[in-house]
Amino acid sequence: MRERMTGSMDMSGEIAERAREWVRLLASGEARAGALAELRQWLAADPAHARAFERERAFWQELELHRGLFAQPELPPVTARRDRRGAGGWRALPRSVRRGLVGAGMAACLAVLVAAPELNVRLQADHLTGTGEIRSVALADGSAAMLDSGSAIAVEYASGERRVRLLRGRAWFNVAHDDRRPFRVDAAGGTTEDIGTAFEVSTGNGEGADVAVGQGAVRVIAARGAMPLTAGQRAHYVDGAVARLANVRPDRVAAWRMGELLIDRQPAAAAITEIRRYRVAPVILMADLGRAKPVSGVFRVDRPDDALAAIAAAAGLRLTCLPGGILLIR
Amino acid sequence: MRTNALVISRLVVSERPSLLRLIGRIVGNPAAAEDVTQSLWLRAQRIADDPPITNQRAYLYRLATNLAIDHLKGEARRSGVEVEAQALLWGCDEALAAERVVIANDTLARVEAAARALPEQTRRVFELHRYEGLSQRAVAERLGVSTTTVEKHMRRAMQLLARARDGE
Repeated sequence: MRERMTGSMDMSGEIAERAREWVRLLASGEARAGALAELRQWLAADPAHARAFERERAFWQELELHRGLFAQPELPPVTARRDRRGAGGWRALPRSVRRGLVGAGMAACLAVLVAAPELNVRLQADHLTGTGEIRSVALADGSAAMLDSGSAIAVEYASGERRVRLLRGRAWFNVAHDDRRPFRVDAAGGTTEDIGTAFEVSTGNGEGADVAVGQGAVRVIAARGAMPLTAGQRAHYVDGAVARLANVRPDRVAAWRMGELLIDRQPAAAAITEIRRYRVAPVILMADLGRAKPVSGVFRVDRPDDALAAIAAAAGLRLTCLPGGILLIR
Repeated sequence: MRTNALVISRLVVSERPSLLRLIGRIVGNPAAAEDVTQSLWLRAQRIADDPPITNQRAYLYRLATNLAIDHLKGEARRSGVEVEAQALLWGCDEALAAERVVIANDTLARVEAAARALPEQTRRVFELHRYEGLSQRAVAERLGVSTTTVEKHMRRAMQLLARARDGE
């Protein structure tokens, strides 16, 4: 028994070594056609070979992210920067991150890159808000829309219907009801149809959209289902399917209209996504928030950094300020 | 914008230098690497949030290698064998994806210790070959040693790192 185990361990060790040798050969720049044919044969000969190869190859690929481990101890350009900035936060970052950030600072193409999708939204939008801006828009039929930070809508009124497309972010609608001209909001592949009401449609918390009703009733229509909602009810739709969410107090729907941000037992990641809407500079999440505790609180939308600090503290995360207003959450 | 698309697009910008290096190594030409990196950013815009991506950085690098290989395949200038070798090296067998584990923190600590403990010449060979994109022969020329010596250092480095990864 003992002998057999030793034997099989030796064998798996040998297979692993062989797999590494294949990886080395592929990377060497010296691979020949005959060798590749031999590799394919070897892989096909035994599932254990294929598994070992996949493992060693994945390791080789994964090392791409860890170049810093192999750099020489001295890194003059980074050291110089670090001294100039003088902040402990910079020093505290892993070297690979510091290196990436130095790169980010000099990326002149950044503005152009970021502008491309923005341009697309701008071309389509009739009304849009910048980061930190919340604005009320009077629509031609007497209805009102209020756009949250970083949101955009396109208004398409026709004789038979009033259609608004939420291009980005979230908006609250107070609709002047008209049976002959239904009011519909399209967002993220679904439609919310008013039945005399005030409601909020929200995108940007991942895929799909959330709908919450403040007064009256709406019908949420997606490709594979529809759901009526009345005051205080909420739903989420994604990929054509609609699902009910927990109820809220109707007067708390779209609390951001009052400059408040209500977070009620949300996972930390969702809460941070929520607050990011109000911040101009990026918030980079490096933590695995899977196990972070849910957070609650009422925050002011014009003080996103205070909100982030409170949430980070509640979830046991660390907040690091980087040059350029970038916040790193770990 | 979708969370994944947003996070990964930002990563493309912040990690641009290392992405360029990685892609440059695979496609073997700086101008093409610029093109591929640009298409990487466009591709990142279309990433959905479902299925969720737990390690967005690793995902981005995977995407980068896939695009680089696609580019290489579409290019006739490189020899067919080298293209095939790169495709094999940077590929991923979806059926065996479970074998792929993002290096966990404790594993990383062990690998780091092993990397720091490498003899200087071995470390230098590994860095030049793995990260600077020099072929084994080019490393041999740079350091004034034989290709057999370079092979020996590479073998040694890979073995020590794998042992550290496996906790041996």
